[in-house]
Amino acid sequence: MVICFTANFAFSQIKEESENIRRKVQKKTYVGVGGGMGAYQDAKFSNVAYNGISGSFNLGTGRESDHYVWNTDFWTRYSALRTGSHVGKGFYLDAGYSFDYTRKLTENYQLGGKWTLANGNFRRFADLGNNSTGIVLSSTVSALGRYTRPINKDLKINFELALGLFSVAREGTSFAYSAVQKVLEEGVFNFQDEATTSPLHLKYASFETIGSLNKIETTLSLDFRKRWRLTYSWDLFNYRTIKGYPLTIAAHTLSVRFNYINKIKTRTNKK
Amino acid sequence: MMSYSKGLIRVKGIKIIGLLILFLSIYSCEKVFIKPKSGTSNTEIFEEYTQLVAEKYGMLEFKKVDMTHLSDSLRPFVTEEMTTDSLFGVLNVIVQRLKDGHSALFTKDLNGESTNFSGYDFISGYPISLHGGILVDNYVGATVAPEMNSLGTIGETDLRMIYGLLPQDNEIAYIRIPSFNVSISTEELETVFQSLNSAKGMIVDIRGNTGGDPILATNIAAYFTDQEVYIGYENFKIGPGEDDFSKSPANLKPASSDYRFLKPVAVLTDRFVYSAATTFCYSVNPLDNVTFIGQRTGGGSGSVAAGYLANGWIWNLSVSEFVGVDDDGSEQHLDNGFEPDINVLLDTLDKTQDEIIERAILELQ
Repeated sequence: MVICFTANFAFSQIKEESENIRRKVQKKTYVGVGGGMGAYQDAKFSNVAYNGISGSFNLGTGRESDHYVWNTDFWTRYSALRTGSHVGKGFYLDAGYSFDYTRKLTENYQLGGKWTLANGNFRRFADLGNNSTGIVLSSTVSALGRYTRPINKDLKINFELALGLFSVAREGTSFAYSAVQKVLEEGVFNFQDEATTSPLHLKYASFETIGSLNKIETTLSLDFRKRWRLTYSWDLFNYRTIKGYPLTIAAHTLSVRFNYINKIKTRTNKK
Repeated sequence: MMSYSKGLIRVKGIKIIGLLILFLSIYSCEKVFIKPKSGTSNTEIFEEYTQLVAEKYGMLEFKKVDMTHLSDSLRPFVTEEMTTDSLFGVLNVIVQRLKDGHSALFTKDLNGESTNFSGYDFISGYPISLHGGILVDNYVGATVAPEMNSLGTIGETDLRMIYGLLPQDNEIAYIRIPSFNVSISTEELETVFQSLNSAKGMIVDIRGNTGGDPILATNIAAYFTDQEVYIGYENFKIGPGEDDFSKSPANLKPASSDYRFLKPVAVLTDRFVYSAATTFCYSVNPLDNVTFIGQRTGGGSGSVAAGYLANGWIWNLSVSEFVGVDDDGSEQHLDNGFEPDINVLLDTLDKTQDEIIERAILELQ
């Protein structure tokens, strides 16, 4: 509440000051590729943490004016999963689509929100029979803060932190069986009811808040002139349907982004 | 002027360093969320597995297994000096004690080949109740039954179902489902049941069917009723505590089809009937028009989960139990199978007939 109020207040101040002046809006559309390390641990089927080399791709668009910034981003990430403890191996595939909007509080600080409309994670360990696959679907609303600072005329550094506030989520595996925990707790599992057996059905998704579902996304990026951005990001997803048996998915990604459309439009405000 | 610029640069530098420190602190959060992995020493693996069975296995009470007592009695035999094969032998005692064909422990090498396997042999001691040669030569082969159809090729690995009217009595339909570990579409099921709809009785032969997809099993069972029928409940383990169970009552809903088969049905069983084939059995068991003929079934009524121990050994465990209802309404735990209504042995020396099919024909005539 305090965050929203502060952002809104700052926004109204900026708005009043900016009337009747020429507004510049920078539009960009970008594509990014990267790689790094993925990590995965589902304590329901193993205490071992798995990790491996990952690759990512993202595509998005954004607008930035003197007062606000918004972005939409589609991303997909693949990570091999291995461990030094044994020969078992697998992978996960993560994909999602998000929208974020921030207001510029000052020249350097921005505050707003991010809505990860849809995020799906598909995990596979072929050795594990009925538990060989795991699918988690979620939609999360996060608070988003951004700090940007030009270093010189060619370079700008950005830091971004998104902290998940609440989510709607569905994990396909429960404490033990490959069905949603809520389905089993409510005693409605039935082989003839697709809503309880399908790994993709959303009927038994749950509303989750910080604590049961933790989503943290951070990026540290360096913009080079208008077209390029080098980003290091760390994303963490931690979902606990049963206390003490969380699912944790993390990724460290170093990526290069190219703004293949980069336009600046100028508008004059009319009273 | 120079000192002002230097000061500005210093402030910028401090802010950027602060930013990096903040970033690294957030990054270290990952270690907070990812649990420290279990050790792989002999004692740690033993403790991990015994805890796992105590927390996840869904039928300890039914199997009369006291995990605290069992692990206490085995712990003195576990030492750090013992070989991994010896440790595997100790854990095998637990697997055998569960007497559950779904529960197993095995290892794989770098090529994915199984190197050690521990599982309960639920077949041992039961007679052979199906002979492929007798079946083909007398009932379903092209020579004796040219009208018999199949999904896939009879005698080949792509066989999913055999169906048609029996040459011994062309008013009796015969369906053989060798496995539920296949895909059979709703359209294919419609074709099968439409073609057999005029028969006065049907034999559903699931001998040798060790399971597969329980949804397919249930979809086929749904063709044998026109009313929703209570078939029992599945008791799922939903947490680590010994009482953390939740019951899901199960009803069999009729198939949305014009070709449901409501006339007498004989289901042929043997000890190999297991897992999803048991799902089929408990789904049709309460139906008045169904009679089971053959040998005791294998069971395996619980749902299965799998995972890795810290050293990579793979565990399978039944994480639920199904309690079915008989046609007289009584409850029946099905994990060790159940006796058919009519017990018949197969005489493998007599190649001219399958006594179990013959008994079913007699029952349906």
